[in-house]
Amino acid sequence: MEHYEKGPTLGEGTFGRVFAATDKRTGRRVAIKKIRMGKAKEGVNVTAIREIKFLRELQHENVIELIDVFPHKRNLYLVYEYMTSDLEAVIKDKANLRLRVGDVKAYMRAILQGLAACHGHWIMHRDVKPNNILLGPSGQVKLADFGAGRVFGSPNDKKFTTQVFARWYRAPELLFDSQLYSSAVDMWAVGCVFAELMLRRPWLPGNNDLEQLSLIFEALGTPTEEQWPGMKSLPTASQVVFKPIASPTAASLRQLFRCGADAVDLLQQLLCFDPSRRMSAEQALRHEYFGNEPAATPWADLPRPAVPFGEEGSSRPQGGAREAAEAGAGAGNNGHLLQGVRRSSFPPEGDCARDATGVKASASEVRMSLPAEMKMGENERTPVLGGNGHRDSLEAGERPQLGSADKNYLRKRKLDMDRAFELASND
Amino acid sequence: MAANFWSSSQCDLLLEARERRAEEASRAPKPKARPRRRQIVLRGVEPEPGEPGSSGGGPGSVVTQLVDYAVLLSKELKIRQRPVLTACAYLWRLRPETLDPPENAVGWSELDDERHITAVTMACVYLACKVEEQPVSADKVAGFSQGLCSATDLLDAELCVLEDLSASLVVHHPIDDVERYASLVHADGEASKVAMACAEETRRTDLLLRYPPHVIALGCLRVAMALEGADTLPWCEQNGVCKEDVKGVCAELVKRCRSL
Repeated sequence: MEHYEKGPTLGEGTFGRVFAATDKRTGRRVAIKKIRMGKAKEGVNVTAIREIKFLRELQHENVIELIDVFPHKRNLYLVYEYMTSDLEAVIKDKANLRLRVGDVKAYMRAILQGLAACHGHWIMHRDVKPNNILLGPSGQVKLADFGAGRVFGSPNDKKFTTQVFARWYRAPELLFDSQLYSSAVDMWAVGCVFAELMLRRPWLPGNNDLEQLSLIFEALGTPTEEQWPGMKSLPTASQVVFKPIASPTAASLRQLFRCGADAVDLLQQLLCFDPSRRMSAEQALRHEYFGNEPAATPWADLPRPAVPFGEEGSSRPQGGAREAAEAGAGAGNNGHLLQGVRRSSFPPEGDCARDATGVKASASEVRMSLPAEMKMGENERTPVLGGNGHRDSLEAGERPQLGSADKNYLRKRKLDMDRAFELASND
Repeated sequence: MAANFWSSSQCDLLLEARERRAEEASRAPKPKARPRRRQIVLRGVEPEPGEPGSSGGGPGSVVTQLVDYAVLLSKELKIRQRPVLTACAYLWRLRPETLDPPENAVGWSELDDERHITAVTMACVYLACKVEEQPVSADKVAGFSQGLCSATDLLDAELCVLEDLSASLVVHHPIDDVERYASLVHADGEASKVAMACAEETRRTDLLLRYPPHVIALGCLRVAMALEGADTLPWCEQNGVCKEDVKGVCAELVKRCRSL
């Protein structure tokens, strides 16, 4: 610890605080994650162990660098290279940032290169989402957070857990509780991120696993036996019967994403239902999309969000004023409600964030009942619905985290109900 | 872990060690390392008989003892083969200073010495289990020491070990390569079993610090095939593996392995 000069806090992770620091020996800016061990009965968290062991082996320009690991006063510190922002911020900063085709291409290529390196080392990331794709000070794009990573492909692999990925990025085989899966689950998530980059909003924001499946099938068609042989043999696939929906045509997808035929083809191959036929990262990198014009933007020219890590946290006292100013600037357009919201792993910032999550929840409710071709216009309408305050579904509408099991949600509801019963019986 | 050895941190460590050895060889011979103050006897483990003519045995023999202890512990807790091998590799990688008790510590008794070294050994097993995704509970591991170490000692030692290994946790084992090469050198059922047993025995040697895992695997296969009267050395040479390395592994195996 004596080698580093501590700077401001950048964020709060699941098992520790991340702060900026400067290496006194080299003057290099770094980010240090402090893993608290205080009450831990089982020593260093397995998540931290996974992160350490994978990042030590993976040295790639699109994977975050783990510089050092050291214990200090019974806490463990992980030193990473300093990154300024993440892809989620880029996607959400609709007011200031315009993503051109070349920008999306550059992001996609970086993500795919990073994942190809992981898969080449037989490592599944298992938590690919915009929030875990970090942007460096000079525009580099790097994969981070290998806490859910896992080695695969060994002949004596045992069953894997299905509670990985944030729900919106979870592949259908995971939603059907398949316990033997491979790197294809990462590729599905990449497809979702690709769609999100083009739409500038999450494409398939389900509130629970079942809704997630029906959203996927509505958007991409219900898979037939031919499209996904073996689907029926997955543990929970036979428990629910989905309405047969035809696959969307390439033209309708092009219309939805306002993009070229090559992009739609890549998207469709990434979001292929059959995991064995889903495109691998290597194949995706060879797809014609990356060869076609316009070429991918160089890193240095990629758009960067205005608010770097940590500043929103440190300026939170005045945050309300800033957001109010922004809301004022975008007066008359409720779509700007979204712009104040940043990372979900940070505490939500006041009412603005709450409104926005309310928007999302109601948006997906509406989407459930809309035929596929009506979805396009809905993006403009939803903020109005949000303004009416659909706060009941607030919890469910928040951006889901890794392995966000429905059971937790149910348990919470059950507790609430218990309390209600208690109150009722007291009366 | 089924990843690429050549891009791994283990390969870096190996190259570093090789450079260091070359450097040391070119310099004037260093005075011999200070012998341990006393022979440590871990509960339940036979101390390694020292080399004839030397008293006690070098730092290597301490690690061999610790490896035996780790294996006993793993048998008791029914830990699988892979975490055990990884734990042994960690034990070999630890710097001797970590194993040595603090110099001239006030009130440091023989019991503290034993506690320290037991905690480090158990921490290696405990950490290896987590790394290989087969975690065991800290209380269970600490329980094996029969009250000598508490779970807290174990967790403190875990941090120590983690730092000492400079967080390079992934170990490539020769055992995977034995499986891979067995069919190539036509090692049938019996010979491949012998080779596997040899590869498992290498945990009691520091071979993993000196040779890449595939060379060790080829050495094991050569020993196993030699029992059948075949020599695999020409095959190794044909495939671009250094003959001397394989020979060196074989010599070490014949010297150290109990099962041969």
